Amino acid sequence: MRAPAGTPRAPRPGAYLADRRRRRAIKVATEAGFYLLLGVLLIAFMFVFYWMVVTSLKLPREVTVYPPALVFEPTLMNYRNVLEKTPFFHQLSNSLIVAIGAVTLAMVVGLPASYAISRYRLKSLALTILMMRMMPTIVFMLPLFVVYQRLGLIDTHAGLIFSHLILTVPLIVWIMIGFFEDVPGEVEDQARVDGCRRWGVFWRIALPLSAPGIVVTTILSFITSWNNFVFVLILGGVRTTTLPLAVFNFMGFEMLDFGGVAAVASMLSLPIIVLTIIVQRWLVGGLTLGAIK
Amino acid sequence: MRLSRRRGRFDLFPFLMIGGAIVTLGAFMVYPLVSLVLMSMRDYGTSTMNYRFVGLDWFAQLPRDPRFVNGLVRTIVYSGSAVAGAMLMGSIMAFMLNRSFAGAAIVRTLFILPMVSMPVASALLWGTMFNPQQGVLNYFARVVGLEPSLWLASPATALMSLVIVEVWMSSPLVMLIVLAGLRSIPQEPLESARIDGANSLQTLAFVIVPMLRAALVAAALITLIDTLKQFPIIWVLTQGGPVRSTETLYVYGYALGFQFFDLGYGAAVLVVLLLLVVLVSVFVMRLRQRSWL
Repeated sequence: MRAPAGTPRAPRPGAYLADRRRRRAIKVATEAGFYLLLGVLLIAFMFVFYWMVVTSLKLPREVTVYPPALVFEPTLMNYRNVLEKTPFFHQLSNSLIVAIGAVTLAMVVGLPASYAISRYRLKSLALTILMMRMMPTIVFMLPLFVVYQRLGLIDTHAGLIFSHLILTVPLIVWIMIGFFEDVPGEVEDQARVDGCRRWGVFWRIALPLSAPGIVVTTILSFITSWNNFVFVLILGGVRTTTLPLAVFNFMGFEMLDFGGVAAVASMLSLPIIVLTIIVQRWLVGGLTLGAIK
Repeated sequence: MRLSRRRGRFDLFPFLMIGGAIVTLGAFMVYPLVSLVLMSMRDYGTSTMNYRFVGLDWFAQLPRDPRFVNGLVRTIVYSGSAVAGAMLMGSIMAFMLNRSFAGAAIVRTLFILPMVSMPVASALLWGTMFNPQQGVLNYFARVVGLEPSLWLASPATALMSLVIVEVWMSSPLVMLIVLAGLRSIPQEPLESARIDGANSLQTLAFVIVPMLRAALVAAALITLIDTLKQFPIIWVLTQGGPVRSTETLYVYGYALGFQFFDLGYGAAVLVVLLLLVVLVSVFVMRLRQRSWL
């Protein structure tokens, strides 16, 4: 006679051991599944970078050979081509001028503002800046383009640097609020008692104490400016072409030169990737902060 | 302590501190915004100096413009699919990184790379991979026995191909936000759930996900804003084609404003995009956690 379903059966001898074996098997399977999924995700997300580097090191005739050769003789020909055919160093210096200019200027106006917001709890200013940070930058571009044309700022470094403040100032102000809040109030009060004026408290106490935040913010705003495409596309020109626009123009007539495309992409992505790997421990907090808070 | 000895007198210091930021934001963000709204109510003739006030005529025309309706639909489909994809991938990554394993820090850094590398360069590389004849993706498709796809070359698949790139680029931020959320979950409810006999799926569904709600909502909203603002991926890979199948509102607004120099109508389209983004950012602003902000 069978027991009705749900009635607990009397434990068989050895059931305990079997149960333990079953649990161990499940555990091994879960582990294996975990690493399998991790491997799949890593391959899926990293393949682009692998393919970029590998393609950039291949000769044109090897690039579209399938199945792709895993072992091949690497060549720097693609890199040499790009450096010879395009004014790469001119564009690199444009990118550096714009990014460094935009980050420096934004620090000068952004750090004091951020400090004042965190000390005097300027809530509505902070929220206005957050709101503007989320707006699509193209909405500023149409009027700015008209004004720039009138003022002759199109295709000038100054004009491009000013426009990049749209990216960097809200980012710096918003992220630094959090870092300034972490500066203990007692230290600042003590400095005031010792005769420091308020600017001195900011300059000598708050700024040095939030140096790690300033480093993260500098890197983040630099990357944002470095990567930006739409500003230079609209407000730039031959003289001020930065690297993102240069890549875009390169594509125009060389789209089938896979090796060249990969070499350009590698040269632009690798510095940022290396930077990210070096500072990743500090960057992670900033990236999430940059997104919300 | 007499920090507030100046109370009662007008305090200039905070205003000096925020002055630079106010001037910058006013000139490069507030003024262009106001100007954009004014432009959307004008009919420009042959020059930007010569215009006629038309009120809300442009906005009244929008629903009858098939290209605008197409843009709105494409924007919704693009953003909706990309947010869904990025939320799925990013959450899986976050859950995997939440348990400790050898090399977790390295894996996290690798997963961040798509979000910091230059979008134009990454998009360009995806473009070579999407190439229907010589691209590596169709090679993989043939290897696993799938029908090769036209990817970006066909109106049927172009938008979804762009979504793949967008998911690749947006998942890291979702991962970081969800991971920060997971790290802040207290351990006690997890333990009591286990003691009460919940299996890991039940714990996930009824304990972890409800506690993660804030992080998940934040990640989804921020990704939604980012995808509404997407331009480099689309412009580099398809420029809105083929047959406008990837022409989002952003791309349509850009084309109107900067290719056809239809300033008034272009401004109206951009105002609609702006309203969409502002609508979502209002919800983001309600997620704020800091006590005073």
